[in-house]
Amino acid sequence: MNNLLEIQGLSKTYDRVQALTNVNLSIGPGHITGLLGPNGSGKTTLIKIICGLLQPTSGAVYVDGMPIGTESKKVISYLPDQTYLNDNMTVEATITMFRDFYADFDMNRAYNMLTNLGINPKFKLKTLSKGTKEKVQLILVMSRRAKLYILDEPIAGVDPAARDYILRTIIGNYDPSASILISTHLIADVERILDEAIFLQYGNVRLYQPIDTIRSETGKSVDELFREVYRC
Amino acid sequence: MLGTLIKYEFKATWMIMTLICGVLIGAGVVAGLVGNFLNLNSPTLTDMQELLLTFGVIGYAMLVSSLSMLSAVFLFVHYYRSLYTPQGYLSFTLPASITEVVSSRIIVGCIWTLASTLATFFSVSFTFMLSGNFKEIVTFIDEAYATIIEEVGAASTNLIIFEFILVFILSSISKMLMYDYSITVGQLWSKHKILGAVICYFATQFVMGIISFTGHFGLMFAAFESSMNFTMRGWITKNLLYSVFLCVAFYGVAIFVSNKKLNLD
Repeated sequence: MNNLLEIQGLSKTYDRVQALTNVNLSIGPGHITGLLGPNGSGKTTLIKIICGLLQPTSGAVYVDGMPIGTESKKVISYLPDQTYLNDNMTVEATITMFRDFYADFDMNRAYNMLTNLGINPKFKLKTLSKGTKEKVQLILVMSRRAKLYILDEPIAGVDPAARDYILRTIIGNYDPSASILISTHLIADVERILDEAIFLQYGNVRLYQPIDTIRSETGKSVDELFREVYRC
Repeated sequence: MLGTLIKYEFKATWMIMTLICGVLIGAGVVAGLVGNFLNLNSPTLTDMQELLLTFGVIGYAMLVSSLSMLSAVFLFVHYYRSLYTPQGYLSFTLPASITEVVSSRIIVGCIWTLASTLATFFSVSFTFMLSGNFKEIVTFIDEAYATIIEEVGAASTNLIIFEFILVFILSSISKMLMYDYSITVGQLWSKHKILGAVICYFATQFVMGIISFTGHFGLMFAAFESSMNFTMRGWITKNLLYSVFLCVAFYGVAIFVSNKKLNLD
């Protein structure tokens, strides 16, 4: 089976700072992969290159066999670590916008999630709290039937009770043939839903293994291993 | 996809831009009616009427120029915010090419620039017409038209007027495109991107000044005799070509830089 995400010799330099160095990765369909690493390890840079928001210095990225471009964007559903919606729009206007742009957007799924989280679709985004805005963004992203979901810190800004709902939402709303790449610091929260983990350090892939292999080989949870590897 | 992008660009900008255009036209109507009511076009004015006329004209001119500036500022801030702040994460991950995403902003910006230019024209027209100067305006236009016919002949007059209007519109659009181009080129700076955009704007203005001066007056130094064969037609055609060149160059550079050097860090 073809890999959903193929990264070959990817490097990125900002001025003189090497953010990514010769990264090679292959992620197949049907996996939930944790992209883990401390601040400045290159997680967001890697994600932005996959989504076409940054140009790599060298190397290539293929999503579902396609280079980064219009076709790859059709199959990626991306949640950034910041609010990216126009604050003057209402929640329902953002849903309509996603429906107009994405052929794979499921309006019913979006409205069901809004109801479950008690978010009024008539409200303008600027009247919502930061956490609620993040929930709206996650709803929009997870209401697509995409092949690759890329979630950058999806639970960082929400309360612990909402985290459980969000993680259930992530697991419950993706097609088994799709894959999810989650970047987060809150490893203990997401560990139970991960199939595999990538540890990034100084722009290099330090480890890329299935969660079960990590546990059996090290006798530690991913959270424990992370704290050991990245101890200050 | 370009059509959908343009639709959402209009949705994001129509309220402010319609308000600006509406206030521009409304100010012209009000200024004209007040001028007529106070009889400010009378050949003999009292001190109070002169005072009102002076303040009225200054106030109206300041309002119109402020609104024109406001519309330009709103459009280039919208261009910047929707592409190069976190909103850009959404804009550039939509299933559209970078060319389509950037073009949609530029196209809608140009349309609104055209609309605000027309609103300014109507505002000034209403001011003169409603203040009781309608006959004088018609006479002035008739005289100007007759002068042009005398200068270039009846056959070329309509073409020259058409080209002149086109130059006026294109120069307004090229100004808008220059803001967008400067903002995009400013993104090439790794830090201080807004400062980069400002530097790019003034550097481009400087280069344009040299090109424009050379184009208009360069011949005077090289061949003084032939430069004296100045015709209105030639002048307008030269300006028309220059405006078209600027529009194409600014648009082309903005699209090229966006495609090759997009870095939303």
